[in-house]
Amino acid sequence: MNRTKLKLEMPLHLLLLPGLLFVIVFNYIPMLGIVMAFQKFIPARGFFDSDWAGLDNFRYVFSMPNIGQVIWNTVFIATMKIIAGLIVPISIALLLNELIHEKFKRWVQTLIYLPHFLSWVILGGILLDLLSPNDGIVNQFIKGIGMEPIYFLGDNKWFPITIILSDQWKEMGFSTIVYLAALTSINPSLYEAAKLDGANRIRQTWHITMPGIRPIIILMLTLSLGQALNAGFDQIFNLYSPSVYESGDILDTLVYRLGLVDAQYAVATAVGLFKSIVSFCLISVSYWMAYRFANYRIF
Amino acid sequence: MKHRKTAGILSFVLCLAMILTACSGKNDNGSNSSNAPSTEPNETNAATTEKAAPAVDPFGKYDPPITITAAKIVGANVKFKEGEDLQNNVWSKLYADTLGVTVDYAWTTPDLPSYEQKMNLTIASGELPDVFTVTANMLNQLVEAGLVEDLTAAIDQYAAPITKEILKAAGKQPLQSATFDGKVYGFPATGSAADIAPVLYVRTDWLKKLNLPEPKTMADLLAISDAFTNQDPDGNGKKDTYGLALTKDSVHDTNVAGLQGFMNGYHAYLDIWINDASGKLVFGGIQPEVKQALAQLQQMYKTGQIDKEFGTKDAGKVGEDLNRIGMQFGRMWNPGWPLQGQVTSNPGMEWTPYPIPSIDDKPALAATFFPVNSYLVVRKGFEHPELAVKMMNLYYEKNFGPTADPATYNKTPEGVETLQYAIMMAEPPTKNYDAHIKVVDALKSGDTSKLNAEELGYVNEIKQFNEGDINKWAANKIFGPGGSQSVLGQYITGKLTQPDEFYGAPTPTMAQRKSSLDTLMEETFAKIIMGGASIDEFDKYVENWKKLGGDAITQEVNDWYSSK
Repeated sequence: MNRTKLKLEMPLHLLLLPGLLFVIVFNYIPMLGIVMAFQKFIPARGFFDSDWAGLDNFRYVFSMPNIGQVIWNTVFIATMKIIAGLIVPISIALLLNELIHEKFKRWVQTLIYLPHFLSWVILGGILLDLLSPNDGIVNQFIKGIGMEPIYFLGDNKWFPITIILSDQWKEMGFSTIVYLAALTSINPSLYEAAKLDGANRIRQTWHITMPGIRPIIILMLTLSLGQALNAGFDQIFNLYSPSVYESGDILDTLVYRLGLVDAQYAVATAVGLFKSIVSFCLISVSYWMAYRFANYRIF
Repeated sequence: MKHRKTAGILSFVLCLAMILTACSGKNDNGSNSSNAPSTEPNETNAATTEKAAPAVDPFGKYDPPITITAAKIVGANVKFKEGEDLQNNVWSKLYADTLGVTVDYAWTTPDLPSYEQKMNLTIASGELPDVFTVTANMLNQLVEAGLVEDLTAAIDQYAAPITKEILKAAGKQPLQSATFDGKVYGFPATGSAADIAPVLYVRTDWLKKLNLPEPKTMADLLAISDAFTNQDPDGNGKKDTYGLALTKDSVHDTNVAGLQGFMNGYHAYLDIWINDASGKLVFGGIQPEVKQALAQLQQMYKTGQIDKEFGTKDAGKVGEDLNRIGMQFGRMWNPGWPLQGQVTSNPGMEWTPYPIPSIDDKPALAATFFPVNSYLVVRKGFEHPELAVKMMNLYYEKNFGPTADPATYNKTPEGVETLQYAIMMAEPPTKNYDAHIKVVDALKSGDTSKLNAEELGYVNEIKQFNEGDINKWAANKIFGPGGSQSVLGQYITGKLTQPDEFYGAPTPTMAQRKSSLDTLMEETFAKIIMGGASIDEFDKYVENWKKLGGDAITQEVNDWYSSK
């Protein structure tokens, strides 16, 4: 590197500076708060005067009666959400892509996109009414076809399924748009060539469309793997109740109850740190896999 | 290469500078807060010696006037008269005119959780208000951190006669709960324990319709529940009614449709500490009587006497459902909410409060919690710790003392609750029950001269109800003849309450484990009632409860018990 090049690039580096500072101030400096996880933290004493507790907070967390169940719930719900979050939007995107009627396509797109803008506080109330076993419309239908009503939000068997499906219902429109955008970038001449070779719709989809959007699929999967321990706090917090703690209590709701309700900041930090470390490992692995198998790199 | 080196050094220096400034900033704070206490004792000593000289006046005025900062909860229900606000109202004027104190609220929050969060942040930042209210838990933390002033001498010297009288009536427990190592650090907001006791509310219009007796025993209650479910009390030909109301929070929340009252009927006491046969304290929520009551509830759920959906409904939603549920265990104020709304919109509906019935020939005891849930404290180093006592003197005096003026300082004739503007609200322990007695007497004799404005207000509302104003139904059901206060009166006169024997600050293990134990309890009970687990799950829960900190807490609670 020579002096003139540095001089030339100086303005660019300066432009970078505010963003860098922002990240340092709001993302890196707060990381110092992680020390709380190793302290017997008392807010009145602050970081500097609280006693050190070593790994006591972690020991406490892992001695909690339901911690195994909570971790399992978190991983299960989050994984299922990731899988459903791939299959559902891709299928819808492919189906929408086949529609010829442009106006109808736009309509569907907008309609399924709308729930994305509602918060879970609102949707929680709506779902509670829709899924009510006594007079909810869903159970009216189930009763109508002669089956026993299902207590979707109060039954441990059904609660995770309800969570995963309702999450898809809310978010599928958003991801669908990403895949639709990827679909438009495929060169139409490839389809023409395939048609000339006698490939039907399904073959075209399999051999042209899917490889065409593969990088986006892998990108979305890689990004979502980092979420493997984020099972969706606002959704579950607004829908769960003591009777489904067994299948619905996740790390985030546990942290909420420990940290904000009981003011056990140190313990809540310990759980948070544990979650971050696991997520970091998962992101690293998925990044490596994306590079290895799809030759995809961000850096 | 050279440049890269300089750039490297430069960035290293920059980083270092940043870290240093960050650290030094924090060091400053640290040293400030650690310096502060060392300078304070001198100041306070000086202050007390100065004040020892003139005669002590419980309502003494500061001259020149002082301005203090304060913090409190101001709920969404607090209304102000036109042109008034928290800093400018009858109480702020009273503080300024009588005590020479301008109260400047540094911050307020609408409810307790946000108040606790904000207070924790304030504690961390070291900028405590001069005078503020705290919960027992926060008081414990503040004392431990040495951030609040000792009020022992201030209470001894400055308590007005009415204050002393009320503190005496409240017993020694309220002050004792604020005492650490023999020093009182907070002024307790006295209150009524009986007002927290569960009361049974029954749809008496349904009782009449189905020709059923009033619930005298638990067996009656169970029969009524069955009849309310199966004999179509609302007469619409559909099986859409329930016997007993529960909410998803019933286990710990006794406000509306709580579990506590039902448990008390079985001599089981959730969430409180009771004496066992050997005189030791044991936790009520793990006793075998609880299991018996749970088995009954499981049966009632199975036979449709409890809403299948109670597990996802909160108190607000269950309140809306009370037009098709016939019984609920709640608090004495339930006629005001949620029952008044139901009665107004459902002509012919009638709810009557009853004491908790018993499963056997032993009378049922209503579980009560320690009634003090807030304390007025003074920041360590504040020059006038006696101010907290003086403010409470004024509060008691203007509401309940010889010069009381409740129409101005408690509730105006227009119904504005001015008492909410005071720094902290408190009550003599039997205030509501006394009011009930006087109201009933006045209604009988027609002589209202002995009533204060609040009581007169109840009498007027009850008169309006008797003249047909259904919107005043609640006043009659709380303070009128046969109202919920008369049920509490039976508890008080018959000594039919089971107080929480533990009223100290949360013990160390309690602070750490109580919430997971509470969660375990909620979850297990919900599952048992809803049939998701067999009744024998209860034994496993007891075992887990003990193992997961319950035994340690029991030990600590008993240490506290034997030390007092």
